[in-house]
This record gives sequence, C-alpha cells and structure tokens, in this order.
Amino acid sequence: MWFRRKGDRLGGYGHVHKHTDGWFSWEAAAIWDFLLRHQRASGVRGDLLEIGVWHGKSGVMLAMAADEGETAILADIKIRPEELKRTFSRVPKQAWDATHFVECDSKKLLDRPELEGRSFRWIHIDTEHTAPALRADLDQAHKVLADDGIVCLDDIFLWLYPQLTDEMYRYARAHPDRFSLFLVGYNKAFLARPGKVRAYMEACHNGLIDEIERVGVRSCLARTARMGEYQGFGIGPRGAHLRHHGLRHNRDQFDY
Amino acid sequence: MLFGSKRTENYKVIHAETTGWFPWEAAAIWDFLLRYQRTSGIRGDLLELGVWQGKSGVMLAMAAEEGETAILVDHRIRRKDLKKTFARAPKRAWDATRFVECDTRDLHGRPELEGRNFRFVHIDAEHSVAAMRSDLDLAHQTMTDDGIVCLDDIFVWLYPQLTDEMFRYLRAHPDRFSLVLLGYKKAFLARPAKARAYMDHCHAHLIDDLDEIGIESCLARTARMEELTGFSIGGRHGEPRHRGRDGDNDHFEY
Repeated sequence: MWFRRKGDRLGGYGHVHKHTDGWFSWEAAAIWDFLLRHQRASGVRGDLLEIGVWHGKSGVMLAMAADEGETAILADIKIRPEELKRTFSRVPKQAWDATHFVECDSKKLLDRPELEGRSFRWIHIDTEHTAPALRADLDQAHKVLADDGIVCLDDIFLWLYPQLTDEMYRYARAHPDRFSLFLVGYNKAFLARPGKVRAYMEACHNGLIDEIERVGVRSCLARTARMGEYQGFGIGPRGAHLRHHGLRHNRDQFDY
Repeated sequence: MLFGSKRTENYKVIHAETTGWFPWEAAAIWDFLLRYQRTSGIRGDLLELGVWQGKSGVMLAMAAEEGETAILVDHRIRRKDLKKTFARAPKRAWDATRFVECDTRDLHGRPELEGRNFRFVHIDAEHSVAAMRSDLDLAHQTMTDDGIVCLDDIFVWLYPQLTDEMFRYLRAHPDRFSLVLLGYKKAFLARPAKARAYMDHCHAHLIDDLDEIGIESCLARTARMEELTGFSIGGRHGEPRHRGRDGDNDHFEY
C-alpha cells in the first residue's frame, strides 16, 4: 500500500495529509486508496476530477493516482495557487505535471475546454453545499463519468449539511439508471454505475476492512438492510462491532 | 430545568447505569422538548417502540403527568432489566407505565392503544425500512396535532436505510410530518402546522439550555428554505452557537 511501499507512486501521502489544511479524513483517504488501487488492478482507466479543491488535500491524492496518460482536473471557483503549490511540493513532481487546475463555477464546468472529450474514472464532488448545486454536479458527473468509474460525495451523513444526504438519496431514486450507492461512511458516499456497482461491492466486501486496517483504520463494514430495501454498505469505526456486520438480529447474514 | 431538578438528578444516575444506546445529548434534547410541551400545555400519552432495558423509555415514564400513560412496546419485554431500571426512578414512573409485548407492526388495533393520543412517540424498533414505515404510519394515526415523533439512528452509518427511509417518507407524506431537528443520532418530526412553533423554541432556547448542563452544541440551518425544513445540531467544535449558510453565517432563515 502507498503508505508502506516507498517506491509506490502514492508513497508519502501520509505526510501530505498530516501537513495540509482541509477536512479530508484519514479514514476517507484510506478508502480512496483502496478503491483507486482496485481501479488500477482492474484495468479501469480514465481521468480524475475533483470539484471543490481548497488546499488540495484530497485533490493531490487524485493527482498521485493518475497513471501515464491520465490527467487530474482540479476545479474550484477560486484556485489558491500558493497553497496548492505548497501541497504539491510534498509529493513527486509527476503529480503536478499530471494536474490541470480550472478556476470556474462548477455549474459551468462542462463548458470548459479542459474537459472536452474527457471521461473520468473518479469524480469527487465537494463544492457548494446546497441541494441544487449537488444536483447540478451529479448531472454533470453522469455525463462524463466512465462506465466503470466512481463518484464520491462529500459531507454525507454529516449533521451540518443534512440537505446533501437528502438530495443524494433523492437523486439516486429519481435516476436509478445513472448511479447506485455502494458505500457510505466517514462523511463520504461512493456511487457507481448500476451495472458496475456489484463489482465494487464485492471488492469492498473481500478486501476493504483488511486493507484499511493496515493503516490503522479499524472499521466495520455493515450491511444491515435487507435485499430490496436499500443498496450499499455502511462503514464506520469498529468499536465493539464485528469486521462485517449483517442484519441487526442475524449479524452473519450479509446479503447484497 | 428538569436536569437541575431532583427528577433529573435521578435520570442522570439511570442514564449512567443503564445499558443502551441513548446518548446523553439526545436525553438533554428530550428533556428540553418535554419541558416545552409541559409549559405549552401540550398533553397526551407517551409511546416508545423498541425499549431494550428502558434507558430512554423510563424518561418518558418520568415525564408523564397525572392522567398520562407511557406505553413501552417491544417484541420482547425484558421485565427483570426494566424493573432494575425503573427501581432507580420515582415509583410513579412505574405506575404510569404499561408494557406491551408485540412486534410493532402488530400494534395497529391493539387494545392498549385504543383511544390514546400520544404527544411523544419514540421509534427505535426493528431497523428495517418496512418496520420504520409501519411505525411512522402508526405515529401518524395516533399522535396528537401538537406532538413530536423522535426517530432513532438517523445519520448513523450502521443503518443508512433508516435515514433514506425517513427522507423518503417525509417527501411522500408532506401533510403528515415535517422535520424539526436532526442530530446526535436522532431526528424529531412534528405536524407541519406545529413544526414552526417547535423550531422557534429550539432557535430561541435550545443551545443555552444544553450549555447549562455542559453540552456545547451548534444549531445549524445551512439549507435554503426550498431545500429542506428543520435544524440540525451537533458538537460545537469551533462552530458558532447558531450556524447559518456557508459564506453567510448570519443568514439563519427557517
């Protein structure tokens, strides 16, 4: 994993995380790493997009994950060059070289020439925290997400912005052909195309808990809902829970 | 306030010594809302669906005024544990309580509920979508016009289906309930016509009230009017006491 293997291109992110201002939790970073590595191992290719960058705490991770020929597009209504340069100075130079910064209102992002012809395997939405903005960002994500890509939403299940969680579920219900939720926890939600969601869920079920535990994130993957009533896993601190938690009164039943 | 009184001192001990998942912060909000109901002349029985060892249910029993009854329902009533919990509360709490053992989905039409109107309904039963929907239907049928429904395990990663279903239900039945407050794993709903009164009271007094017992919280209203009703609440941690929209913190419209 990137924090253990010195030669890995993602090596050193722990240092960036520690020294960069932002709200991107270590637990979320560990899940990103797991999913980005899963994409690489599965041959999922495409560019990477972040909408809402701040100092680049999470965006730099996308830049570091960009393989040859891939580009990380980091978009914000206000690009903060000094802070971003500082953040990127802590990682290998190829991350900077793989990145394009776009300063614009996220609503107009698709009109920008930097996005023309691109297909993204990863889209992180962390922009204006209103329901209409999230809806517009999801509409755009639908247009440019690769068939096997992931959309990650910020501040889901966070009490400060309940409208985002409401809108996420509302959108998923209104457009079941566009995205399915496969994982929620640590203030993030992960969506994939309905046809690919099963593969991501299987990857999470088989490897996520073990992998993130190696970087000190002791978590429980939960599937307390019955088939048909809700799709996706929940993830959170293990505490006294099991590594995998099924139905409330039958914890070994882990159907999905 | 209840938490400074003898009654609440009793409850503090109960909370500390009873097994359960009822956060102290949620108990403090219950206390605030139950006191508001009393001072506003809101009367009615109190109902809990999903009791376990009575950690929260005993609080409803303690809040029951003369002539009011607390009905505590669970598919398995743990009498021994409940007696232990209630032994720490004034005897009249036990006297004001009726225990009903059944699946909450079978409650519709049960004689124990006949003719009753509830001012406080706590839903903490089977954590499935179907059960929650049925429990909300029951709450709609039996709650007074000025009552409160409290839902458990909202915005909890372990049971994301409950949050999904709550929002779905509110949208499907905007005439039944409106969201008043969300946080500390609970959501509070009221009738649409009464939600404003509860929100006014929360806006004016909730944060001060919690501060007095050492719970430093932030009451937030980051959504626009057309997006979502209700406030949210959580630990202050550098946030102001009242938090409006991003970039326009003083804009606290509701």
